[in-house]
Amino acid sequence: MPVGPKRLLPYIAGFYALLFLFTTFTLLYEFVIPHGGIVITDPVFTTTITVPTTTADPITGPIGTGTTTEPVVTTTDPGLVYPGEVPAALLGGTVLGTYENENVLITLYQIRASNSDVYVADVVTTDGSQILAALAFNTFGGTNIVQTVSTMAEDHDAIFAINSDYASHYDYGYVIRNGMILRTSASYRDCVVLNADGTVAFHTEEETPLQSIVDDGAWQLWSFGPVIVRDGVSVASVNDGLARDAVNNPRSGFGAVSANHFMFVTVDGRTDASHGADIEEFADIMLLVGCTQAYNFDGGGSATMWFDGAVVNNPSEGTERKVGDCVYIRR
Amino acid sequence: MSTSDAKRRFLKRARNYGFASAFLLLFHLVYQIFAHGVDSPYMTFAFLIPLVGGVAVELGFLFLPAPGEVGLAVWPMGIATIATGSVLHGVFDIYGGSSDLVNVFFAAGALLILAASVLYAITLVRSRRRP
Repeated sequence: MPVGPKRLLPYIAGFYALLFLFTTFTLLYEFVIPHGGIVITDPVFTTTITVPTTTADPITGPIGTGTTTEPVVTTTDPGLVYPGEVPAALLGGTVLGTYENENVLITLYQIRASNSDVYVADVVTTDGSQILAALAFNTFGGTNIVQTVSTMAEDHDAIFAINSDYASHYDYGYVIRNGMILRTSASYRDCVVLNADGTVAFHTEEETPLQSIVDDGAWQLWSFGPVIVRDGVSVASVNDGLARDAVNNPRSGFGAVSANHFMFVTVDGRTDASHGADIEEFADIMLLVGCTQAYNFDGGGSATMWFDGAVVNNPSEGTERKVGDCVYIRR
Repeated sequence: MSTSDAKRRFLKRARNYGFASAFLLLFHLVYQIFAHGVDSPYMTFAFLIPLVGGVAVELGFLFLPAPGEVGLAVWPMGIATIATGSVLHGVFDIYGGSSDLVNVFFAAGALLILAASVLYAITLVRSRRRP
């Protein structure tokens, strides 16, 4: 006997209820519920100095099966001199703050470019290990494990902080933080490496064994991209296949003028006061402030710069977005 | 059910699929406003799933033998599941991430469509065997 439509109603209703519940669960699981990840220890700071020599064993298995060691970071000789001349674009801007100790010299500027407010942290260090990385809740690899840049900065006694590549957001791609290898799977992306000696290098992950990057003295490795300035020339393109690069957005980025001389830049956007920058305009800004090498970090609502207790830019969502990691400089 | 009743039923089902397609198109247009210029083909073309898999199929039944009740119930379940998966995939694309859970929607939807197709094939075979 054929089945009548009324007899099927409970099953049909039950199926659509299940579809709704699973859809809700999927959205909550991916956007709200924190899960996964491994806890990472912060570097131990001592008063003697050498280039950090310890690295963690590579984590080759599933997250959580590897072990981490505490890298030892040491301070260096006193006496920092600003190398060369301050770029004219910065001299024409407003100085928002300065900080100096025996290892770091920071000058924070606000300038105007690309119809936007641009914040530039001009950072001179004695060595690359002064540029540190913090993870939300000191945890890498999880989902929805996020904190604001200001919270991570305050938890790590920072004087300066900026959002970085949100490494946990992706499932693959090299990750090195404070000398520790956190992920060994290569992505299709180009990464930027800050070596402990203060030099900067770019690598195409699929073409570069991670071990060779480690052997070169990698201290931090960020994987978001793209590379936007290489050897003093803009290599950014709005036609690089990434929709977010072709649109005016808030931006954060990392640049190097020379060894141990860095520029951290945040561009406001998505407001009437600041239109933001597409990736080519962002590269132009990095060139304007003197970068010979520059790399794009996570942007949009994540673009956040923090200095001495306060967020200095205007996050596009009106408040800080919680992110997975940040770059900071310790007091 | 008379032939005219059956035709009215398929036209009504086609209309409902049309509403679903229009809703997905509207959802895409509204979502684009908040996507800051980023888009995803999964979101953009999700409306085609009920349009092609629903409206066109139901209109086809005006000229083809009608499926059984179970098949008529299972087919839209598959369409709804695949369309939901497509929208979710688009949401994650625009966010800049991904989710393995979306594959569950596509797999389940494909199985439901396959099941409905098999049921329809059985219906056709049985109807041809009847004197």
